[in-house]
Amino acid sequence: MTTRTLSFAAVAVVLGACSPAIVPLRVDAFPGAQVTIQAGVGTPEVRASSPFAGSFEGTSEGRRAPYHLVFDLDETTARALGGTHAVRVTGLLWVSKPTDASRGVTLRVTPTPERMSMLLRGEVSEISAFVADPAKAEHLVLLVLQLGTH
Amino acid sequence: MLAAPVGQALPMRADGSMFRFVKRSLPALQAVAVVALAAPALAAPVAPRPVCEVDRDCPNDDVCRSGHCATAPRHAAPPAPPPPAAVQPVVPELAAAPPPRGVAELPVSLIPGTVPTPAHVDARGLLEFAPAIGAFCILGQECAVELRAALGFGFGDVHVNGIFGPSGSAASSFPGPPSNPPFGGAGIGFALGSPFFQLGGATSPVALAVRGGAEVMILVGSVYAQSGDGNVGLKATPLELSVAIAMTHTVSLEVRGAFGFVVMQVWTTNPLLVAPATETTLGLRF
Repeated sequence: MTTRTLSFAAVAVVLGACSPAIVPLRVDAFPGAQVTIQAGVGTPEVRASSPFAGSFEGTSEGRRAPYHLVFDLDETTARALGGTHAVRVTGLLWVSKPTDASRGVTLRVTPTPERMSMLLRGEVSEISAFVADPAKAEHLVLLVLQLGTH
Repeated sequence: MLAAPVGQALPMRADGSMFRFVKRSLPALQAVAVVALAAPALAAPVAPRPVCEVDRDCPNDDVCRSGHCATAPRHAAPPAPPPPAAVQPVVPELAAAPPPRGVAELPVSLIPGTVPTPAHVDARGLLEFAPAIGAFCILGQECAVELRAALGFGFGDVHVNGIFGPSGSAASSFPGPPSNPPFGGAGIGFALGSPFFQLGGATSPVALAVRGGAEVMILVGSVYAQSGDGNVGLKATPLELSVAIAMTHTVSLEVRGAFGFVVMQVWTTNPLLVAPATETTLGLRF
């Protein structure tokens, strides 16, 4: 009985480690912008508009496998957010495997409007937002945004 | 004693008697001065303060205190701070920009399905199964077919090998003396080193890992053993290069080359074998 239990546990651990972790995630950066999740190795390009939500694949070494995002803001959207003209904002989104506390919870990444306005005005070169669990060393989700113009 | 009445001409003497006169008359002069200074105030009529009920009854900025007007200011509030300096925006358009739009005003765009990670399949740090087939060669001696099954993790793997030596006519297709007897064996070991690094851009399918490994082996029927005898030894491959080419999002093709040496002790009277060895495998990772 003990051997069987251990076998099931070992199989569960291996299957759990082999399978990707799905992380429900919502990103509220630059609402109104057109978002492009760039293609990766064997993955297609995904388009959406911000704010957007979806199930993202978390990796155990999330720092090495970021999603590459592009936020295209037209002039109207940029002005509404504190900018002056149409801009393109590039972002890197790291999604790590969930912890026990965060499993099944929709994580929400929301840069503050003030920081987004500062980025659009060029007052800062980079802004970031993250979701963290004190029980884990690295962020559960980390979004880093940089400004780029058309 | 000199006594001079008021209004009488003072005697002027050069011997200092004037000083003595003033000194003696000082109390009287002081009394006269006090009377002279107080006289106008005493003689002037005291203006009656107007009786009031509210501040409006008082003239000027006086306030009504206990039914009488006082000259205190109407409002005892602390002085107002100076007005802030007007900030001139560098870009005029910024001054007219409306406040940022609220997120709650916009609908959330739902992405259907799962958004797969864009990373190379071997660069995600997940456990992987990696079967492979290849050749194991003790250089200058003999080669054998090797079947390998590995469980890969972020920076290495644990694996088992099955070694199936040439026999009969198959022996001629492998390097080494054609007279080698058939041999076989097995090994179990590990490899440690770098994780897979993606080469090129974000969409590049090529990843490389550099590792080193060690393995305990048992060979039976090798040239270094008579039939039925066995070789137990260690295979060390300090340099292992693995190139993984992603075929899909979850499967990659791995080409692996390992270079090292084997140390074999024969159970019989044969001498200790120390020889260079290579491994070359082609397999899948998923």
